[in-house]
Amino acid sequence: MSDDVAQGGGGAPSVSEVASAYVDGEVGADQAAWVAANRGSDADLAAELEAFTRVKALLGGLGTATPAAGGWDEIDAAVRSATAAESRRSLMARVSAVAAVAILVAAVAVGSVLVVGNSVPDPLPQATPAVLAPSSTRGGAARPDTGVVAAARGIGSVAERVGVTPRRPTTTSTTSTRPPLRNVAPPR
Amino acid sequence: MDQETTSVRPRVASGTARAADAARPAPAAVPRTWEDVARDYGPMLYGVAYRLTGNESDARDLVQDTLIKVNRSLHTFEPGSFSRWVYRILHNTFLDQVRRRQRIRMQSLPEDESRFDRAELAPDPEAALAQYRLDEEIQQAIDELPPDFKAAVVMCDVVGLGYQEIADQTGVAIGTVRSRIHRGRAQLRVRLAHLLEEDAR
Repeated sequence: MSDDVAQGGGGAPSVSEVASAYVDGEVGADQAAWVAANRGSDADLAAELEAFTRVKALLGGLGTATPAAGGWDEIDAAVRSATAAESRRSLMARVSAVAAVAILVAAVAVGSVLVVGNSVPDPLPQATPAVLAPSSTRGGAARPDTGVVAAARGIGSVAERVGVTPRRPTTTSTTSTRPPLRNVAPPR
Repeated sequence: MDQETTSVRPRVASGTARAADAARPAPAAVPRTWEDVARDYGPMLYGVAYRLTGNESDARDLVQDTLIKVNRSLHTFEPGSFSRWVYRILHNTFLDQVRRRQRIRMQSLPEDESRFDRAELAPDPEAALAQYRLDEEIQQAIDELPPDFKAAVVMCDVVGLGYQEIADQTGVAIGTVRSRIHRGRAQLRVRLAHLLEEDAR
């Protein structure tokens, strides 16, 4: 007999596999019919069915394993300890999260106070807010410049009012400002 | 979390009960705490854990880890079969442990006090001892199976789950389940040939 069940084709389960599934009642109608039709005449199939039925019976007849005396108390204590530790960790994580939020809120509040404190009696009204706030929040049309650019503008305008020309950045050059040496004869 | 002072000692099945019987608890209500789970499902969990691990110490660890995970995810349980949900956790925990340790360590037979206790308490000591030896031999054969085969065979023949349920719990195709059970049984058949022959006579 072929080792493949006839109706399955190339990828069909083997007779042995069908027999194993058959004892569990886990075969399709076709395979069940095939087993029923062949078990009386096919010695191999009959042997497989008998063997797997016995293996299943052996396993199903295993006794119930129970822990030794005190085993459940150990399990109880271990799980209780682990769950308590997890609860503590969870609580600490929540406390940490709340603390972090509180610190953040406090930092924002302090920052707001500084902004307000700087904006009221500011002797350099255009300079400082420009650094602290985006240009679009200072009224007027939104400008795409950054706080740094605005700050530079603010410094420039303050300098104009004070009457000082802002120093332009000095450029470094390798050329000397001294007049070139003439090709003169050395002194005698 | 509230710490209950009551023990979680489960409703223990009688000493003569079969593993498959213990594996099918039938409390209708969904337990609310891990203590409830331990009381209602403890025998099932331990019985299956023992068959999967093959020794008391690892079985206890497996039950502990399972109950810890149950406690962690009890609030995520959706209506359905609670015992299957618990068993799925047990199975996944077992495979995690196998992967972690690569090989569940073995424990020598005489240290397995629980099984001696059971033999001593049985009404017929000789029959109990014979049953004990038989169980132990079968257990040793189960222990030799690869973890995937072992889990499939235990779920099918010890717990009594159907192929589709096993496929759902293990996340593999039903054909794979069928193949694993077949190959696992085929190995057991060779390993336990002498018992099967005795049985046939």
